[in-house]
Amino acid sequence: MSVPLGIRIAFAGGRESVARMALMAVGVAVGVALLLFTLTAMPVLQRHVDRLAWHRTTAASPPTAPDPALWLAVTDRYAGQDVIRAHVAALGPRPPVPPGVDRLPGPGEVVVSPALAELLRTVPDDQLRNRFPGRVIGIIGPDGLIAPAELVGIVGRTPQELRATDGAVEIRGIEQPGKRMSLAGFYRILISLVAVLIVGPVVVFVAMVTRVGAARREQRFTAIRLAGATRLQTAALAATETAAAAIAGSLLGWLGFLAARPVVANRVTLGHGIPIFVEDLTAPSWQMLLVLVAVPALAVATTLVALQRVQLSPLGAGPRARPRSPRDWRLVPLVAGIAGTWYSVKLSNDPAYVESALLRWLNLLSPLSILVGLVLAGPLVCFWISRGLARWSGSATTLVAARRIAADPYTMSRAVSGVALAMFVATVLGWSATAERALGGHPRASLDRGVVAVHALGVPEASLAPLMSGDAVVARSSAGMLVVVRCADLARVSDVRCPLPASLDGPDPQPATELFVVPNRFGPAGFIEPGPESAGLLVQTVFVPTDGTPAAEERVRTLAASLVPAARTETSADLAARTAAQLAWVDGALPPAMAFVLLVAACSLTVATVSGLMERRRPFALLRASGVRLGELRRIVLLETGLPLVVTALGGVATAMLVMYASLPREEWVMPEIRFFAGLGVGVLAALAVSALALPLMDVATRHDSARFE
Amino acid sequence: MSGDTRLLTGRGLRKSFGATPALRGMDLSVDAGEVLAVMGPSGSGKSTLLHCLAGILTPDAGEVTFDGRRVDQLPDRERSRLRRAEFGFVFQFGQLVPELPVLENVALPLLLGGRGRRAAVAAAEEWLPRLGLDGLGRRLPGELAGGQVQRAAIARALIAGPRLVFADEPTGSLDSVAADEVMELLVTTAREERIGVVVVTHEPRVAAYADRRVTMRDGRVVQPAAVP
Repeated sequence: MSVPLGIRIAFAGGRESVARMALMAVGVAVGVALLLFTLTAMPVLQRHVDRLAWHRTTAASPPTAPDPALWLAVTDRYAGQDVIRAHVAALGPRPPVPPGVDRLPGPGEVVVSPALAELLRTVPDDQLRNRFPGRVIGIIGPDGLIAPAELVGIVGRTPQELRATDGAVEIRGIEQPGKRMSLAGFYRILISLVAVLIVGPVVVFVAMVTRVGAARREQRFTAIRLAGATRLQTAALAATETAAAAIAGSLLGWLGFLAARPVVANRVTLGHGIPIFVEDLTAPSWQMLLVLVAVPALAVATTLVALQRVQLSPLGAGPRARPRSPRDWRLVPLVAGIAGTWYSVKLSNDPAYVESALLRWLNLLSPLSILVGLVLAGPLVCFWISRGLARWSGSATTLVAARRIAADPYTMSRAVSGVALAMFVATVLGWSATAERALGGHPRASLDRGVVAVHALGVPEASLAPLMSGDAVVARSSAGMLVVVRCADLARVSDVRCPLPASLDGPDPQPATELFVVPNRFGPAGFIEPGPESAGLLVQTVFVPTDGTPAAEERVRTLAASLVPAARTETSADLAARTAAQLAWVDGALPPAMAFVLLVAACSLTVATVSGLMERRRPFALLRASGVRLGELRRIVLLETGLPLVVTALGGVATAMLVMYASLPREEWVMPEIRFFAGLGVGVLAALAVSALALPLMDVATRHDSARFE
Repeated sequence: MSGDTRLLTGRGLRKSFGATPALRGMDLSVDAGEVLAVMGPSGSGKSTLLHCLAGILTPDAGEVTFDGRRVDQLPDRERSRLRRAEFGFVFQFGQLVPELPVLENVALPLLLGGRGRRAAVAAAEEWLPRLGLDGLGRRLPGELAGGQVQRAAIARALIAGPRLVFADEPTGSLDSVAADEVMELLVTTAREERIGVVVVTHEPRVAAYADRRVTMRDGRVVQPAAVP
């Protein structure tokens, strides 16, 4: 009986019931969608690492086929994007085969990714095509790509050609996903922290959404209890009502997640500058199912806890005693969390504790304690606000708002606690990004515009003859990874200052180093000026000036690739992009953090405003009937939600500042730029503005017919 | 009234809210079919007494006996069953579920008792004409006048065939004409069905409908004195 009756009661109240249920469902949907996207974070990273696996193939990769092959993979660039060029030569009928292709291309054959195939059709051969000598015989499938727009080609060679090529190695297998690189192992603590930081505010938000119309619901269930319903029956009725909205919200959230996936995937580039596969944005089915079940369960649990007063006594909705004033102990978890963060940082500097269970627990429990502490401290903050407001208020509006907050600081705090958590999370992320930027922002050298650096990595000068124009600057490699180059020549094509250091052992990074670093292949140990004996040394890098047009730069690259298959080229734009890629997560983390703040804050406040209006229709209607202007009622509502919002938002930021101060070494504690704080402020103001959209409801909700008691 | 017709007895009832005593040793009894008015000024403890007698509140001391059973010692589940099957309630306001139409509000005790919806609604339909609510069954409580709401509440209090109805200021929100109508209906129907009524009021006009009146002040009966 309870379930049908519960559903009937839930929907029988006309437009108000439908609005309440819809609000609850939409709130749950937002929470579910956010949680589902949070769940995808780790799988996206792992899937990315897995997709990259075959690029990491080396001689040490475990066997995957009976026969060996020769292998040389080079990361080149085209128009600001990485181009992967893998040269292969089978050493038997059954060589290892990369994912996405059926067989290794034979000598004179090439297989390419769809995006590269498209480029090859449209770009002149001397700018790109000649880097992939041979006939294109196939397209690499999605399994062999890290992203749909990846530029990758596999060039078939004869064994003789590759044996003569520096850098080629014999392999017995292609590196397989997940075998030797599991992100979960590396980032367990980081992931736990992020999960707690993201999930915490969302859970609080969902819990708050399910309390929409709580007072009205309490009144309804009081009537039903008086009519003889048992606690179990009341609980079943309440659970049915909430579950109906929450299940609908869960499904809506899931559909929203599916619908938003392409949009989000289009924004996620993971430092490559190209969007990832939409299908990578997923989580294990059991985790998604868990969210779809757990969120309605959380909503139902929140409803049942909120119904406790009715459950204890059928008079629950009657006149209530003023709740006890919040006590100072509510600050303890917050202080403990900050202290725990400070102590865990201290321990992490001690090698004896780096792997300790104590440190792992501190890393997990400290942020958890801060999040719980922010929620617990909320009522105390609201109570302080009400006291201050009442003391300094000069108008009826502020006095009513102050008394309203003082009457139930717990409810007020619930409405804005999600905002405090979101501000905390966003500030921690923003601050971390600033520190990272400060660390990563050491001086770097840059090439002059139009200069292409061809990293030949040790070939005779004759191999590069077509590149050796009169303006080219040649850097050779000497024993001990020393670079032999005339500094004055290098200064012609870059911004290095002479003299160059003989050794790079010093603490300060040397800008010139950047010009010669080839990831995973070469990093110079120092520089020496050339002498008469240097002419016989192998060429490390040739700096080729061009007229600065993209076509000229690409022609040099293509020529270099055809002369030395292992060559890797870079321009000044590529060097800048390398730095940008290292800081990509910094720039990438901020906008989502801001959006997160805005979304949670706006939803929290809108829910608080609407439910506050719904619950106080009658007293507001009576006030209006007795002459209080509608504008004054609106100001009361804005003040009683806006003031706690602003103060708790500031509290969230202040807590984050304390945490960052405790976490970061003094030299890394750099204040974020003013635009970061402005962004947070704009987010809160926008949230307030969005919630103010609910105020027009006030006119309808407080008309005289609302003064009737039923 | 003789002891064998005694339906409900409260002895030595004490109840405090924090440091504020509401009942200071109340004794009271109600016989089957009797209409009893409990009068007194605001804050005298009338409503608290009614809540203790009906098993809504548990007294701090004393005992409440209904039909030989200690109501104050019953578990919540049993007290809920008692409220559903043996008692009926009419309050000043707030006792109807705003989202349900009148017909379903009246049928609610039967629905909660496990009766099928069709049967419960059919039973409710029989009660509406008796209380002058003909044609109003599909309306929501918010669409009714105050007197009509109270009549719907009376129908809901009586539908399960209770032996005792508790009415707390049932006419408190009505004008005198509507108040007379409501009391007339409540008392007449209760007498027809031989249902006891405990009505709490501060209005002599309402108390005049009762067979017996007791007056409370400061949590005690001041007139007449109590259970023999």
